[in-house]
Amino acid sequence: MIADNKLNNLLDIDQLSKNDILYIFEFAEKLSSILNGPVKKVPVLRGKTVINYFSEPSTRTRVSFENAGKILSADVINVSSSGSSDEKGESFINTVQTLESIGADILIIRHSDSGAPYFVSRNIQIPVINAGDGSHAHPTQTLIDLYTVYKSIGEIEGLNLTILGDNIHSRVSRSAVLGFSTMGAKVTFCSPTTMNANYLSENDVNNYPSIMYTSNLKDALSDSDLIMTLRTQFERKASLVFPNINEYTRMFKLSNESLKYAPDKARILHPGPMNLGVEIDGYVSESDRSLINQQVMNSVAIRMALLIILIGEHTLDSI
Amino acid sequence: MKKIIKNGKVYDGISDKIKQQDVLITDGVITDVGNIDISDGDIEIIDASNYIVSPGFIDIHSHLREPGYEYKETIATGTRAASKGGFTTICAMPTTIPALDSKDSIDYFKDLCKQRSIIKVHPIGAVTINRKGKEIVEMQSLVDSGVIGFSDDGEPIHDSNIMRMSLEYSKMVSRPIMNHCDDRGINYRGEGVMNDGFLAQRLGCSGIPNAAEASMLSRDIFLTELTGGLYHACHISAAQSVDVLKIAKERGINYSAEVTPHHLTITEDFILGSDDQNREQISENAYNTFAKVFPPLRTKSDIQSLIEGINSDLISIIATDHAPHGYEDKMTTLNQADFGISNFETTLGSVLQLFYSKDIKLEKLLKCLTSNPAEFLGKKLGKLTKGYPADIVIIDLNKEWEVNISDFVSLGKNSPLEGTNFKGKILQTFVDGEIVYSDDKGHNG
Repeated sequence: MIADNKLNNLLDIDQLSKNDILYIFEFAEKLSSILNGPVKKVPVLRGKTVINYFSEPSTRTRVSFENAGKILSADVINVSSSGSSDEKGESFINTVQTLESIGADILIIRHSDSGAPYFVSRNIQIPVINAGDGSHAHPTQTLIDLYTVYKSIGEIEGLNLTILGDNIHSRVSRSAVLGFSTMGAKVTFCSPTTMNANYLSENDVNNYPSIMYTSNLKDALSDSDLIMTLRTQFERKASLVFPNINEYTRMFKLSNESLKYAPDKARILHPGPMNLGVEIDGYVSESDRSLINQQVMNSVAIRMALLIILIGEHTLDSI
Repeated sequence: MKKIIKNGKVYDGISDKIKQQDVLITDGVITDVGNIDISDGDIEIIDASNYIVSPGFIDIHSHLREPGYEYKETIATGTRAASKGGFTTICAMPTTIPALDSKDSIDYFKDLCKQRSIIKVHPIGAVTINRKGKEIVEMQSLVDSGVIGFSDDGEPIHDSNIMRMSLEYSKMVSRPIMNHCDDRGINYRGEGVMNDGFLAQRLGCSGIPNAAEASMLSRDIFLTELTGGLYHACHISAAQSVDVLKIAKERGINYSAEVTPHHLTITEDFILGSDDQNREQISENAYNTFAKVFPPLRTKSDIQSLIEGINSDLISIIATDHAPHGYEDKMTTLNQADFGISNFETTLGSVLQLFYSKDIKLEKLLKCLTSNPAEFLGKKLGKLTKGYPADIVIIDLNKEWEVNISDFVSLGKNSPLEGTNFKGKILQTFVDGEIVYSDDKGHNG
């Protein structure tokens, strides 16, 4: 358990047990009081340097990590691959080793290649947080999503989560499968057959969660407690996996109309950024059923908790 | 100058049985094999009691990287690594700069080999200019310069008309077209980095399905039937490909096929880390670039099919696809890393695992490394019999050793087998009767 044995890095959710996740929630809960207080600054990570290395565009993840670090009084440095020595031909590993030598206490990495944080983690000494790697994982997003559900619904055990959209290229859905299953939820993937990561349930791995698959939106929503729509990733190889946006929208968009298939209690998640009108309608994302704003609000507390757990001196009791 | 290798367990490349015999060498040529009385006093005796004596290994598929990529490998280091692995003849793919696609580049390459190689090297010519898949090279003039076959290896021949015409042409020049089968359309337009399946999806990586290989192989096999051309399938990795070869054999289509030591022995799980293959907990050792190879490492059931392919003679050649790379080529993410494994120095250890596991007989393994590739080359090589060059290896089947990449003679330290315990090692390698490598003294020159 991470309360007893310090976590060295956060590469994916499979490093965490249910108790670990609840421990992170408890941490985040305590930190929320700082966020809601009059002075949003505490000296918990004073003297620590957090470096965000983002080789892919990002707004919410980068800014929320940055804000989390700053609220905790860490010095936060943002590095993006454009404008860095990456453009001068320096290798990725040399860049991150340089950031370590310069004095980073922790590296937050976003990279377009799956596994990049694993490669970095085994080649440097300081902790690494995976802030999204290729199509592989986005563990902090999943912790935020779980925390949001935990706060607004309560018990996650037994809930049915439907993940709607391009799950084959989605790091969010892969980490969500691990995280929500660990907490006892059941996961259904719903997408065009070309975007369904169908091998994930064809395996001989004992502890890998079982996933249900469908390409029928009605079936997918009929028993949902939670509906997570994924961003339609035009920049990844989306061009060939469905005929055009119109057909996709007709079949898979979450709208007031398609939501009629879902039980009234079903709540809506989206990891952002949203393509409004493509995978989700604005009426839905802004509705009372939507948890999307809470997801963003909770992101800072979760990331603060992770920073303290990985590089801070405080424990849950001393914070 | 006479030498005799005494009392070895001799695999002669002709008989399917290993027998205790002596091998007499006179001026670099084998002059007698049998139980030989030595009355002549002026003879060097090499005692091979308890050891296997085999024709030197012949590799029809390797990358020497020179000219153009001398930081990955050179002819000097590559041929020394090969001789350490028991190879006395190797064939070099045209994946050089310039590509071996013209008489001039072949002549230049052969000239470099003459100066720098310590074993026999034969070039493989490109099928198309600069391996671009557009225009066929001057095949006859390349044959006249000494190429033993044609391949755009690493670049599958996609244009079916190019494939058809080069197969037609191959009949005239009497040398085969060696294709690397991979349909880029099926392989995510060439973006795949590992075997397709659960693990690829679990790791968020683009997978290369077996169908990418098997579908192009089927095209090639039926084009071979259509044209009667000379066809060789490079590094078969998929179970479905073995099924395609079965159909080819049933229909009486002439082809040859090779398999690599890694596709015969290790699985995609090596992507999880060389000594950490736990699918239930992905560790930080995952995305192991040393296990990135093209075609990709597959699964246990593919391995089983490949073994059956060898045992039923659908696949007759073991070739290394030795693909050395520099440090920075592999010290990166799985997506960015180059494909390939440095293989010369671990081939014997790898394939002997199949002998010890009773999957493939020793004689068969040796045949796939010696007389079968010799037959493919159409050269007087690969047999221990009167009149053949004394290209010979002495193998200690029982010697146990551990793979230590830093001991590699090859400049390519890119092997996923670091720390692997092998049983069976090359003791001595002779080329034309001269020792080029010995386990205790290293290289001679």
